[in-house]
Amino acid sequence: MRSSNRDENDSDAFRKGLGFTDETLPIISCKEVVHKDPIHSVNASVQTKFEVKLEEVECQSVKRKEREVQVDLGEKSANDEIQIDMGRFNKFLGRVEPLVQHYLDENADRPNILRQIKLRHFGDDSAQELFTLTYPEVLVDKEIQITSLSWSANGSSVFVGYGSTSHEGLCMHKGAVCSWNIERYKINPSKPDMTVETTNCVTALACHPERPGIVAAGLYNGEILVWDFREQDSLIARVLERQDLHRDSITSLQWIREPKLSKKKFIVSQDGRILLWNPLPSKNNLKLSDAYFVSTKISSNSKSSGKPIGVSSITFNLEDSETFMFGCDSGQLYKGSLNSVTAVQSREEGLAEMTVQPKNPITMSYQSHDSPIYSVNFSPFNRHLFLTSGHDGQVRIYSQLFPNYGRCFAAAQGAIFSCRWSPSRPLVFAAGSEHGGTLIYDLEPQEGAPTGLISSVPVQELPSSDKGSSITCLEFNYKTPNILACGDSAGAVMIWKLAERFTTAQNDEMENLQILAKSFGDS
Amino acid sequence: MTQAEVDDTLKRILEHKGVTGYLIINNDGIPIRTTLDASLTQQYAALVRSLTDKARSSVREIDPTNELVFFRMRTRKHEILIAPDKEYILVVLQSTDVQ
Repeated sequence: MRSSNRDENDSDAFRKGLGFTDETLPIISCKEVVHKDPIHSVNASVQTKFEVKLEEVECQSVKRKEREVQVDLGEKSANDEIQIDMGRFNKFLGRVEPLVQHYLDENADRPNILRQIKLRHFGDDSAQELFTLTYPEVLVDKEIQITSLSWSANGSSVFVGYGSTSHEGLCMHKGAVCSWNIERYKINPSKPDMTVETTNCVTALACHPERPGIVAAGLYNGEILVWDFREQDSLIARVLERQDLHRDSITSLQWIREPKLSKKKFIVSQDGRILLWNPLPSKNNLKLSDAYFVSTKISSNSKSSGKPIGVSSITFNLEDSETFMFGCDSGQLYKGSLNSVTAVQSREEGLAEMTVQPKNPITMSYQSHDSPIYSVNFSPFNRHLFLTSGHDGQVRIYSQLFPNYGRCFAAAQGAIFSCRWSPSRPLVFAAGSEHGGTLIYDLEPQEGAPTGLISSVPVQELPSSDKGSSITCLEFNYKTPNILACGDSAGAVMIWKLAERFTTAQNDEMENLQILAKSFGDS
Repeated sequence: MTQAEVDDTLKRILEHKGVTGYLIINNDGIPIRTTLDASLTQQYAALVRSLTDKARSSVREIDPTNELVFFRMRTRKHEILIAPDKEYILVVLQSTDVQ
């Protein structure tokens, strides 16, 4: 340890004999030696006169190689690379399955409690007009109008029958059947894809519901023609037996499925006669397989007994294909059955010579309209309800269990020539009127309205092509339920696309329809 | 042996009234077993994975001692039952249409 200077001084003083004297030590000065380098500093600024140019260049050699690779779409289920431990998987399922089963059962047993929640439709309610189809050549004759229309089996073509409804005696008009494919990209609304001319007016038309290309038409003189438009020679069948021929115009034509034979036949209703024809594919004729005759009651003193009643419209029950409803020119409404065996007592000429003896199909009669019934239609959702419409301008809903009608809608728009249920919404139907265009009714109770009160006015009205002519026939497209075709007396067919509101069904709509059907019994 | 049991259980679920399909995914979101078509399976696998995680974490956040056992989503067309587990998630689709 180094001793400090103080210690030395102290020891010196100590050696001198402890004399405390003030001493001032001489000042030692040391020269400051600082080596300083002289700093030269010069201020200068440099500026380039030229613009600074920057260039960047990347260089890379590129080699291209092409190779095709294809992914093999293997099985969709297990990813083979993933190892599944089966034991643990099983345990997982063991844990989870009771829970899942419990809730599945609960859902199945308990009715859909949320079905009361109504789907709210956003957006426009208005219908969009897609096309107006006309065929100017046939419309040269001012009397010609649309008499019937039918959608093809796949829902993409509409077949239209032209004819006239004003005849004084024999029909002198030339009728036609035209078709347009509305799903084609470039559709020309005034030029049909296919036309067939007929000797007189077409009064009824029906496309085969399963086989595309087969169309049956009924003419004013009672003839029935069946075409297959895929074949070169289209006409495949017509009635051969002269005595079976209808005596008056065909009013309605329908393809139905024969329940026992599971083959399609078709039934024709006309004045007095309802006939079931079997189109034999091998021969070019139609063979009568069943016949029914509707006539007035037989009474001994009345001269007009046994006379045929004109049947104007017929509809078949979708669930029970042997039951049908038909409406008559006199306003009467009857239920018929294909199984009936009651014989017809009538002195009507020509009945006895028919190849198949006609029967009386009537099983039940319903409250009649006061005017000719133009259209009847069974509901696709409820096997009891059907619509009728007539010249008195009323559209009525009947249940086949009760003779009196359940609901009546009178729009005061003239005669209602056609009425059809919507294929997608159980509570919606459309009616073609004389002055008001196509009327669409919605039986869904509106929000805020007291329960049980249904709207009795049409919720939407679609005008006809020239805003004044009457709608003579209308058909929903079963494949695309929001498409509606309306044929009018000006000779044009309008294809409408309905708003979402008219095509998507609510959860509880079927139930509401059942409730409506049951309520008919109470009134 | 367990393979047969597994198939049996799944068949029982599928044959239940109203069931339109099922899907089982593992923790990585990869479908293990499915009766739906490929694109739908992929969609469900991705979406259910994140949904289950969100649901699970939500339950945990509210009460850390609680845990998610099962949840159902009722839509207009069908009901989606989701059973999450440690390793796998079972998704079952049941139709809610009346009749």
